[in-house]
Amino acid sequence: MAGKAKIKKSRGQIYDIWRAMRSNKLTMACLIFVLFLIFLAVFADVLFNYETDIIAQSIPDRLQPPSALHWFGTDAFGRDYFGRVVYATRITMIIAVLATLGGSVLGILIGSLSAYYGGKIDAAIQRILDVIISIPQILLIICVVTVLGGGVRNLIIAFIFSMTPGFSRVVRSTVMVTRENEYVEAARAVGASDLQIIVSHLLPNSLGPLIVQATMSISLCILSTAGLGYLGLGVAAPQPEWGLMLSEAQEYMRTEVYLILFPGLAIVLSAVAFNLLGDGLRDAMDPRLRGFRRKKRSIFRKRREAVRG
Amino acid sequence: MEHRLLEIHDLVKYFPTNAGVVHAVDHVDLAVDAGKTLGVVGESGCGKSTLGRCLLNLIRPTSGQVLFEGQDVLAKKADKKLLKQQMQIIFQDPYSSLDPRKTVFNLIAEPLKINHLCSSKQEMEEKIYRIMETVGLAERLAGSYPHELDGGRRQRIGVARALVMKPKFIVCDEPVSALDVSIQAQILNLMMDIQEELGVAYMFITHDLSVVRHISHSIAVMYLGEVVEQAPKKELFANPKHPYTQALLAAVPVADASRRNRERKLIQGEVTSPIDPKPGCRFYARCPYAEPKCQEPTELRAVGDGHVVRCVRAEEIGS
Ligand SMILES: Nc1ncnc2c1ncn2[C@@H]1O[C@H](COP(=O)(O)OP(=O)(O)O)[C@@H](O)[C@H]1O
Ligand SMILES: [Mg+2]
Repeated sequence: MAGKAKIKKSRGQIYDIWRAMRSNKLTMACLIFVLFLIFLAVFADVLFNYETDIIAQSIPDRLQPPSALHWFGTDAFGRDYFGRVVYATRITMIIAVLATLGGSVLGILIGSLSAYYGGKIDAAIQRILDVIISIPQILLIICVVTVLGGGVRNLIIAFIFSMTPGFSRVVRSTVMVTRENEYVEAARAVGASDLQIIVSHLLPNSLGPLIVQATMSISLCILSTAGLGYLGLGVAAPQPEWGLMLSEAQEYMRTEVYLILFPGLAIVLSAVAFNLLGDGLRDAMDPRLRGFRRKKRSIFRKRREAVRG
Repeated sequence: MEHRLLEIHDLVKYFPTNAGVVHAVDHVDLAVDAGKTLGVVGESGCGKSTLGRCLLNLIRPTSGQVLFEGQDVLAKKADKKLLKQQMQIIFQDPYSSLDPRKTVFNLIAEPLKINHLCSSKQEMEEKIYRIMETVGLAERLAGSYPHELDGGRRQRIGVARALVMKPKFIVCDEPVSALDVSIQAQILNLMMDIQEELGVAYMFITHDLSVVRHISHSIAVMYLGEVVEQAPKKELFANPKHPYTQALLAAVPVADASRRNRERKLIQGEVTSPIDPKPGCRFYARCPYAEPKCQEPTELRAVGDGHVVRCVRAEEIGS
């Protein structure tokens, strides 16, 4: 009996999610690229010495095109451009990930409080968020940065401030919809406590929108960091940062195209990769979306067989 | 010897709303015997679900008493864990009552895990596969997700979840109303088989008299939060006293050709609002037999063996 049961044991949930993700090539490509970015961000310090490789100038070597020695060439100060692009990954990722983490934690807190208490507290919180949301995000960030000054830490604070309302809204509406589902009451009927219901039903069923929001936020942070860097409001020279590098490269863009190309590509690819990864993750986590894909394929297979047979 | 399993005394649930107080369950007294089925019938909105949820403490009643084997279910010091295991519920909608992210196996495992009813993984698997067999779910479905299954199979999962803790009493809140007629019969038969085998008692809630006809031992008819008539099944079908019960019965299709031509007294008019109802008979506005005296407060009266009715003209109009 037990042996027989073993064979037909249910597939694990994590395994199901992983299998669905693996079947989506685009998501897998994005996942690999994102992991690569994270690897660079974590080990940039090991790969390069910040003082000697990244910011030390060497005027004789300036503006060399890409070569075996300098993969991405050198910039106007003779610094290795590959090292700078890679090191910029670290700075951008730190800002984007920490800001998104902060924004989502605050958002989950505020959003679930709002949904839980409802009534006047909810209304008050929502009106405050309305005010923050009504200010264009980039303007808000510029204001915060102007008040606090530039630099990585202040950028993170500015991003958290501008992203928290979005997260709160997503969490609030998802929780409000999810908890009305009858399966919540069904769990209560078999004796589940509030905590058990939150952990095993509400969270898994609310995670999809949250993941999409989080990856979108990371993309947005990457873009905003670059934008602010370009405007001279973000990360300060001589630190490497993709937007700042674009603005420094502007003078030479007609002759040294690679100076624009590499940071530009880095911005676009990383922003797109996070966005698509979020979409793929959400689809993989929802059994209903997984099932759709499987069914669709089997219909095609049936048709093919019908045509052949 | 009949053994009283569940007793409901003077149960009341009012919902205060902006428009007024909704009298969802209004002074209901009922009892369920061990191993037997009490059918609760009434049109939608009459408070059937609220009643069922109050019994399981899923909704806190306004007042009243629910005794399960003599123990007060609503008391603060009640053994909540034990009661949760002994009193279960099957929900109406097999689509929204199952978490779409859980496999069949995990859905059935949830009650066992929450209540720590299995000492080993192996024991849990054995229990789950045994209960799946009992409710007619093939073992190969253990890894499926609810959306991959049809309504009948989903409802079998609901039955399995309720049964897996071996309860003595199950509230069935319209468990077949969301299903196709052919599948309704399957599920009803399954539930009767289970009752015979395991001796569970049901409170079977439905808006459809033809459904409870199969499964119930006695039937209570509800109208706007009140029980208007209660009797053993045979007695109620043969001898309905309350005009509302008669109207419900008249709406049930009959196979018996000799009864086809009977006079059909269908109910006129809209359902009266359950918000702040007037004293007196709540069926007054729609009743073909209404008289001025019906506007005075009414009580449930015994009119036969185990047969009670809330109508002052019951004797005059009964059959
Ligand atoms: N949470 C609630 N708040 C206010 N009114 C409610 C609530 N739940 C149910 N009701 C009202 O109580 C009455 C009985 O509802 P319900 O028990 O669901 O009826 P049934 O199951 O017989 O269709 C209805 O009028 C319904 O509108
Ligand atoms: Mg109902």
